[in-house]
Amino acid sequence: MAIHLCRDYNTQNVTTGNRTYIYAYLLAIFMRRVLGYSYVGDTNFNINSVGTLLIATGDTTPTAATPTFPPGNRAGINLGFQKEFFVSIPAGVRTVNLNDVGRILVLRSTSNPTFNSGIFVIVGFDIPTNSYIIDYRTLGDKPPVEPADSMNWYLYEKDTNCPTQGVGNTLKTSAEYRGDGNSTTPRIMLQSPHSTNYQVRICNESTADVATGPTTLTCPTTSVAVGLGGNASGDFLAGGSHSHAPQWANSSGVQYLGGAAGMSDGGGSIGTQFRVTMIGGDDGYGVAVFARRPGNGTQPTGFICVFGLPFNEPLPLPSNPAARLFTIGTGFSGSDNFGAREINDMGLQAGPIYSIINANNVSQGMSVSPFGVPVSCSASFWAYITGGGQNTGPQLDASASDTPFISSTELLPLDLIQGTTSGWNTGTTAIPVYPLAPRLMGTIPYVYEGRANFGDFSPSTDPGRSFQHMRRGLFIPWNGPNIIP
Amino acid sequence: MRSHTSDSTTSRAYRSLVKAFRGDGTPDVFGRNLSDYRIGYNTVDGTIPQSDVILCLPGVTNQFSLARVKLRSVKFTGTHVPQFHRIGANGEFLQITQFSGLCWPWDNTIHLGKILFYGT
Repeated sequence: MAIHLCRDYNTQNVTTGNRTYIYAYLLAIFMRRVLGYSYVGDTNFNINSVGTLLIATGDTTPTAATPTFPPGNRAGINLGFQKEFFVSIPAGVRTVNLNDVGRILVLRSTSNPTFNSGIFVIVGFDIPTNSYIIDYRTLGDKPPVEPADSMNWYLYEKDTNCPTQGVGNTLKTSAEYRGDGNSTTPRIMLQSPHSTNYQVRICNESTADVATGPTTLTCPTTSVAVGLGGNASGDFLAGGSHSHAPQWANSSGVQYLGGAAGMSDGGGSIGTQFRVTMIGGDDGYGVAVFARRPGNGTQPTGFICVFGLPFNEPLPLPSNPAARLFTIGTGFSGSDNFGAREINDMGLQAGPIYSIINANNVSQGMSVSPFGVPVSCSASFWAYITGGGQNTGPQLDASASDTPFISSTELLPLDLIQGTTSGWNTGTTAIPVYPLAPRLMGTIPYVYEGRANFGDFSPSTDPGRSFQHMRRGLFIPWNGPNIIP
Repeated sequence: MRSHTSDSTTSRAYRSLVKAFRGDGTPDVFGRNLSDYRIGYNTVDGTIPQSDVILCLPGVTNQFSLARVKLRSVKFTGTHVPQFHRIGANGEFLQITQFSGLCWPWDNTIHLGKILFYGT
C-alpha cells in the first residue's frame, strides 16, 4: 500500500459563494485519478471523460477503471536548476499554453507519492520544454526528480468552474429527499479499489435539501456517503445499503439533519480562502480531507471529513459489508445567520447540530448497522474516566508536551465506534431517529490521536517528517516536504 | 506512580483513561458516568462493551504522558451492569462494583455468595 497526499491546495476561487464546492471537486479528482477509485456514475459531475472539466491527459482510456498511458505519454517533474517546479508534458498529447494557467494539474507518482502526487495549480508554462510550472506547496524542498514519461497526469478545469449546485428532484414532494433522480444537482459515485468494492457518493446537495436553518431541511452543502449499490446517476437508493440517512429515509424531515455527513466551510465571507490537504492509500481504505484557513483562522472554521473502511477491524466481521463503512464530517453548513460559521474546526469530537450552533466544534458521523439501517458513528478517543465534556480530553491538556520517557510525542490509533447516539439533529436532546447498537468498528485510517498543542500544521521533528499535526491533536502520516505555515 | 529517571523522587498521580462512546468526553464514557443501558449493551451481538484502561499524566509541565501503561487486569463497563455479573464470552471478567463499572479478571465461576467479604 502506498499513501498519496494532496498537499495544501490553495483554493483559487475566493470571490463567489461557489467556493464551498471546490472541496467536492478536488476530492472526486483525488480519488479518481490519484487513488484509483473507479467511476460508477454521475449527474453534472463529469470528471471522468475528456470534456468541460477534464481538459487533457495522456491516459487513452480515461473512463476505464485503470488508466492506459502508452509509452511517451506520461509526465516528468524537476527539469533541473531553476526548473525544479517544471512538469514536462508530452508535446504530442498537449501543447502548453496561456489558457491553462490557473487550471489544475493532477499528478500521480508511484516513486514519490507523498511529494509528487497531488493536485497542483498551474502558475505558468514554458514553451521550449513544453512544461507547466506548478505551485508545488513547499517551504524550500524541491520535488524529487522524476524523468519524462514517469508520472500519470490529468489537466482539469480551474476550480472557479467546478460543479456547484442544482435544483431538487421535480417528481418528489417537499417532504422527501430531493437530491436524487432527475435532480440537476452535481453528484458522483466512485468505487473503491478495495476488495469490498464499496462506493462513495459525493453530492453537492440540491437547493431543496441544504439546511437553511437549524430546524429546516437536512443536508450540508456537500455530503459524502458510503455504501453499496449506487447507480449511473450517482445515487444510492432509498432504503438501500448506505450511510446517507435523508436519502435512505427519503425524507426532508429535520430529524435527519446531521445524518448526511460531509464537507462545508462555514459559509459566508466572500474573499475567504482555504487550503486543502488530503491523504489516502491506493488500497482503497478511504480518504481524510482537511481544509484549513490561511493564518489558521477560525471564523469561518476549517473542517475535517474522513470516510471509508476502518483499519484493524475486530473479528468476526459483520455479515453486512456496508456495516464496515463509515463517514465522519460536518452534518450541516454554517452561514452568517446559522451556526456562527462554526463547523468542526478539524476536530473529531462528537455532538449534535445543537452543539455546533452553540459554538462547540464537533463532528457528526454515519455508518450502517449490521441489520442494514443507517446508524451514527463517532471517533472514540481516550477520555478521563471521571468525565468532562467534549473537547476536554487528555489530548487537549494545556501542559502536554513530548513525553519524557521517549522524548517524543505519543500517537495512538483512533478507534471508531458506531451506534452510540440516536440523532445528530437540532435540540438539546436530539430527536431519536437511529438505532442504538454500539459496536467497535476498528481504527480510523490515516488519522492518529496525539496532543493538540504540538503546533498546528507542523511536521514531526524527525528527519523524514513522519507525521504532520493538523489541529486539535489529530496527526496524519506525512513523509512529505516541509510545510508552509 | 514514580516517573522517569530524571524525576525519580516524586510520586505522580496518574489519571485513568477509558474509551469514550462519542468523541473525547461525556456523555457516555465507560465507567461511573455510563448509565445508559441502551448503549451499554450490544443487543445485536449479545455482548457487553468494555474498555481497557490506560494511565495518563496530564497537568504537570514537562511530565506529560498520554499513555504510560495499560492496566492488564482491569476493565470498565458502566453502572448499568449488575454487581458480580460475568463479562465476556468465557466469563473472563467480573463486574466488581456497580457504581463504578469496575471489572476484574475472573474464571467464569458461578459464585452464589458475596465475593468481597467486606463489601465494595
